Amino acid sequence: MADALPQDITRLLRLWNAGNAEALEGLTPLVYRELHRQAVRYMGRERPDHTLQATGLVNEVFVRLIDWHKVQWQNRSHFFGVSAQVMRRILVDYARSRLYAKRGGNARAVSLDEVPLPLDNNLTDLLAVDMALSRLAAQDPRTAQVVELRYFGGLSVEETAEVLKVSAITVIRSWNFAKVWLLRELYGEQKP
Amino acid sequence: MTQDRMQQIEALYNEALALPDGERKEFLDRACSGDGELRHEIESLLEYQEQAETYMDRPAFHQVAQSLADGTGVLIDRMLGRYQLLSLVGRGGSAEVYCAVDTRLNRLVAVKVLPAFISADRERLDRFEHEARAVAVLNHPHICTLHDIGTEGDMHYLVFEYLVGEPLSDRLTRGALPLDEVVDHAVHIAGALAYAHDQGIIHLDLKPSNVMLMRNTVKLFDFGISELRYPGIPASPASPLTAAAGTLGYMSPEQLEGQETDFRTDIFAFGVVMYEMITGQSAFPARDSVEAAVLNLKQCPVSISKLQPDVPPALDLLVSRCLARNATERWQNIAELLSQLQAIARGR
Repeated sequence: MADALPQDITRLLRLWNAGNAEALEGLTPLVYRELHRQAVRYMGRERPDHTLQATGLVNEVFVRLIDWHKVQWQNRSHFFGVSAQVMRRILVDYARSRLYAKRGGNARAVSLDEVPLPLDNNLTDLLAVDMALSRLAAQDPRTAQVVELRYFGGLSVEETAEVLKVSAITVIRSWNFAKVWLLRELYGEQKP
Repeated sequence: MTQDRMQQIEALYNEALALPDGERKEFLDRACSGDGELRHEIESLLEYQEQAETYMDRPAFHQVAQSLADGTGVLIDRMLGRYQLLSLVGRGGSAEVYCAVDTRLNRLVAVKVLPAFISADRERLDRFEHEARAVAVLNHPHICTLHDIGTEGDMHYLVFEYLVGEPLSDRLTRGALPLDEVVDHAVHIAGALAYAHDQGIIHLDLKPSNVMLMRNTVKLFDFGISELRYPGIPASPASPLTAAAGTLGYMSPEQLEGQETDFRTDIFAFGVVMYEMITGQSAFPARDSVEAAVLNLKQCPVSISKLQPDVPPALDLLVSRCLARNATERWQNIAELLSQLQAIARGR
């Protein structure tokens, strides 16, 4: 697959933001390819958690691909907001399709012992967070937005503050609160 | 719950969080005076405070990429060297197996990719490469050819001939094979083993899922590479405990007990495979743990002639001699066994 040009991605994001649902189809393969690229980097490392600590500007899929000089459309913080939403959609769809594919078991081992695949906790967690976050948004949209930007958009505290036009300390407080709220929502009232 | 209420909870939660543990109760007494529900809300959230510290500390994108790296089929559509991976066809031991195109020779191949935890271990990688080089010299019509050994970034992989056919293990789910077919296959398998043994290579994982029944021929694969054999844990002869359940039923007593293995280990496994082809039953069934397998071995399998009265006594005897618990009581080399088999084949 040929690399998409930065202006195409900018255009697709803008289209999607304007309500063109089809633009998502153009963006999805780009995100998938970045996911695979990242996964391959992880595979080559024994303890990826320690070597690839994600700090700030993690929304690298779009950040890396976008030609910033061409982004005249509104501003940087608006772009972050839109790409976080797009990322959420694509990642959730991806997690769903992968979990579904695993259960469906479409790949048949032609010649080797079949090893049952473990249930993927990362992906089920992601879907659970997505659903709980929608419930949070109904009660507290601002706090839910912090989660969308930080968790799905991969933005740092400072970037999130920039998008929401609030102080960094406000973002930290919302983020801390959102995490315990989501945990309680997912695990129930009693600590497991 | 209203937005105002949520904001009140969030503010009080953060205030409580900023206080030392000991002062929180007093603070909440004051701040929630009379509002039991509010107090319960905040206390139940504080329960999760410790767990939350590391929660979601990696963005979703990285979590998904990580789970992809841990999972399977990540490499579909990727190029490894000159091989383009098309689809995941299975897992052998700890390796993933892809069907791929060799873009230079324009033919299908099977690519086995080692998992990262082996690639990251210098010692295991060295052993793997050493064994792979030994196997690469095997060139026999009944052995799946190892074409290439490659490295791409941090990934190590083996490129094998792509086999189209039905694994013997699948065929066995439909019961015993006709005797003529058994003898034909047995001659091919024993021939492949005799050739490999001559080159100093022991298979050590002969089992029906490593035998491909193809049109008019049979091929053995997964020869002699220990990393493809024992998933997960370093494969040493002394610790075969990690063998996959599918393998246990074909392991010799010396393998199960962690003793020295040699050519006669393959002869034992060959006997187990023969037994199953002839009778449609496992010689040592229900071996789902090493302990069960060791126990099972203490009992002799039901005699073949009892299950298949038509079997020539010579063949029955040949298989029984493979299955001797003590290696010194088995056939002492596969060539001897092969000539006996050929005599039986000629007699039919």
